[in-house]
Amino acid sequence: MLKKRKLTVTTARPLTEAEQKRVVDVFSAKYDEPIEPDYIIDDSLIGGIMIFDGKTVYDGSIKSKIERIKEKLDNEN
Amino acid sequence: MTNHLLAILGLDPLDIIAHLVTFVVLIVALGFLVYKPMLKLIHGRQDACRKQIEENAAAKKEAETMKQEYTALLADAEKEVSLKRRVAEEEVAKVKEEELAKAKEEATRLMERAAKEVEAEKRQAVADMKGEIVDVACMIASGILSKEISLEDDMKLVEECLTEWSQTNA
Repeated sequence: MLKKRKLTVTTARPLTEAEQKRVVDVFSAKYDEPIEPDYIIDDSLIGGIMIFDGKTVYDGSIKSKIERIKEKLDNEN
Repeated sequence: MTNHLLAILGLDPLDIIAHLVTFVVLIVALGFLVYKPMLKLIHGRQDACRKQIEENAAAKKEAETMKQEYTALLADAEKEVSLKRRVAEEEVAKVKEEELAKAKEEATRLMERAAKEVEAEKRQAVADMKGEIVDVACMIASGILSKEISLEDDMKLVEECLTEWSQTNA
């Protein structure tokens, strides 16, 4: 049996089936291997999506966007 | 007449002559024995007095010379004291001026440092305040977004992220 790459997918709300399929499609194409996502709900993300493949974090959450804006404003001070 | 007078007085002419001779001999003897030594003594005394006077004059002259020398020395000493006093006064004034300049410099330095510290504290306070404002603004934005974001917006955001990640390598 082919070993699947594990992904941790974190969102503020449960993803729809279509969205889950889209995640699998995108990342299996990206790694050129099957993946096994583990879905986690964390409402502190506010919105968007965050994916961790064991090495890299793909962070598209609203929480991280706000943090980046905050960091930028702090650095300007 | 003379003989008659001498007879009346009971005097013998020979006695008178003898007395005259004795007197003359006495005078001559006294002249040799007393007068000359006395004269010699007087001359010696005169010489001693003259010598003493000369010595006194010399001593007086020497004293005058010494007095002049001491006066000159005293004047020199006074001049030297005056000069040293002036030098000391100048030194004191110089030291005073230097200390004053140092104190002014120190005061200026302290004031500049205080101004810099005030400025730095002011900047820090402004930065802290801006940081606080940013924190509060982010907190408010988070609160608003967590309430206001719609399912459609969130789905759109998820799709945008997936599209972006599909186009980039890890």
